[in-house]
Amino acid sequence: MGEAKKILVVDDEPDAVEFVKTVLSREDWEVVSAEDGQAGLEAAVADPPDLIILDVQMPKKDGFEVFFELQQKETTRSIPVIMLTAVGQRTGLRFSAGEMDAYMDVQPQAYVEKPIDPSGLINAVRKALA
Amino acid sequence: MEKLLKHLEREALRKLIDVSRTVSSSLDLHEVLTRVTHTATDTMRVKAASLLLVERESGDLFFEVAEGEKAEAVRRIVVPMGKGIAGWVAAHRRSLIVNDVASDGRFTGWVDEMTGFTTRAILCVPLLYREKLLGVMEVINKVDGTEFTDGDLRLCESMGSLAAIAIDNAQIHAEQVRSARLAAIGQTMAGLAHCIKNILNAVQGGSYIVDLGLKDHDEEKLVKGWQIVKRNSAFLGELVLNMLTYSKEREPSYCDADLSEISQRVVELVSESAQRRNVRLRWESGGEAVVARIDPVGIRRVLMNLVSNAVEACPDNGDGEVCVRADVRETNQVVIQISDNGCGIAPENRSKLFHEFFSTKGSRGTGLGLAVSHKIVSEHKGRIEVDSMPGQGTTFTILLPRRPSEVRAR
Repeated sequence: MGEAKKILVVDDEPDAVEFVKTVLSREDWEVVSAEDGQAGLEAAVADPPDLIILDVQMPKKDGFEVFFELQQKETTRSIPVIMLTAVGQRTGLRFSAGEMDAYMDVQPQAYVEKPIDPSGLINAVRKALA
Repeated sequence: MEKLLKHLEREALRKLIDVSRTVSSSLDLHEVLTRVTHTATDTMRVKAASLLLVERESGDLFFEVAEGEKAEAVRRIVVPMGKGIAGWVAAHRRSLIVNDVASDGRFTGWVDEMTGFTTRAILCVPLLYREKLLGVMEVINKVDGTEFTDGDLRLCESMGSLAAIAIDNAQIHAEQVRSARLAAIGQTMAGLAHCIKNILNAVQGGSYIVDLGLKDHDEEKLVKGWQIVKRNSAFLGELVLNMLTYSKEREPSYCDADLSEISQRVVELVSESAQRRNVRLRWESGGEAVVARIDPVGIRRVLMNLVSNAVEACPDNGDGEVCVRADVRETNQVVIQISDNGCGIAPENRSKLFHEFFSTKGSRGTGLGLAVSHKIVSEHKGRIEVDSMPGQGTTFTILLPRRPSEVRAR
């Protein structure tokens, strides 16, 4: 058996992070968190996780901006990403349609909608880690 | 004698011109109607005058402005359409002079009974504009005891027409503001829905953790989960209160209240979330009570919004500090200041603060709190000032008239 898989959760809402952490730790995955986009990027570069769970709506740098930057870097490009989103949200907060096309060739592994269904999240994570 | 009459007519004409200037220069309906009524009292030299408006939904008349003896007492009275002289004039849309009310069957005297005033002679005109009845204006008891004349009637009707124009303008303006506000709410439904979904996510998350705690007999989980549920239920409560306040048209209900006490209470309520963020939140006393005529519920909403915002703007590394203070300033103003040493507001965002639903807070922000705060303070005829630079913290200063009814009546 290898080491426990490490999952990085990036969300500005502590209560949401707590929820995700509690759900995922039932499955013996190691969960770490970052409270905004910039911190999330730095954490991913410093110690690349096996999976990143990224909230879309965050101040300063939103989920899509973070996703874009992750794709730019050698060390983080191949890490699977699951986006957390409130329903119907497919466009980032600060990108125009043209910019979206530029990087949406690569899509996140999955979108998980809030309010999060715990078993739905676990399934999505299992699939992404496989 | 004739010279005197001509002089009075010229005076009256001049006053009429003044009134028409007032009507076209101010959108504050109450202010305009107060001046019209005041002019009527002055020019016709009467002991009392009032202006009643038709309440849209019930069709009854209420006293919008009352001047002279027993004015305060009269303000709370509602006159059913058709009742008494004012009611008759409204129902028939015709002016009336009754120089001896006791001998006129239309006079009921019920308002006199309630106020202790004795009406002897009354002149009442309907306020009509484009076929619509907007209200009535009445003048009562000439000071020198003489009777009301046709000349008086014409003058009153002229003033009444001007008042009617002002009322119609103000009602149209109010409708436009209402529509704009509702449209804004519609546009922000998506934004609010996002915010609510995020809060809901946290409530469900907390419940999930409570369930685990119960299943595993794990008290730590139980406590943690319950805190999350409690906290987010409170957030939801705040959001709903803001939504309701923003969409309702309401006159503040004024009473004398101590702003120091209200600020202190708000600080207590927000202290729990401040503690969680390691932010030092304190209330400073100027030493004495800060009493003003305000709508305590509304002002509390404003303070809840601004103090919570201040706490959230602070860093969570322990350096954060928020200070709330209420003072009396000059003789007719009170001031409440909320200062934080948080992230500050960028200059390009300053102008958007109160005028749109604007927020930089990510999933929790709707901009509704600021919009609501602005609305409430405006209703109080006060204002909010912002002093802020990015990286240097922010101070919100709320200025309120100490006795807004006095500000209006002048």
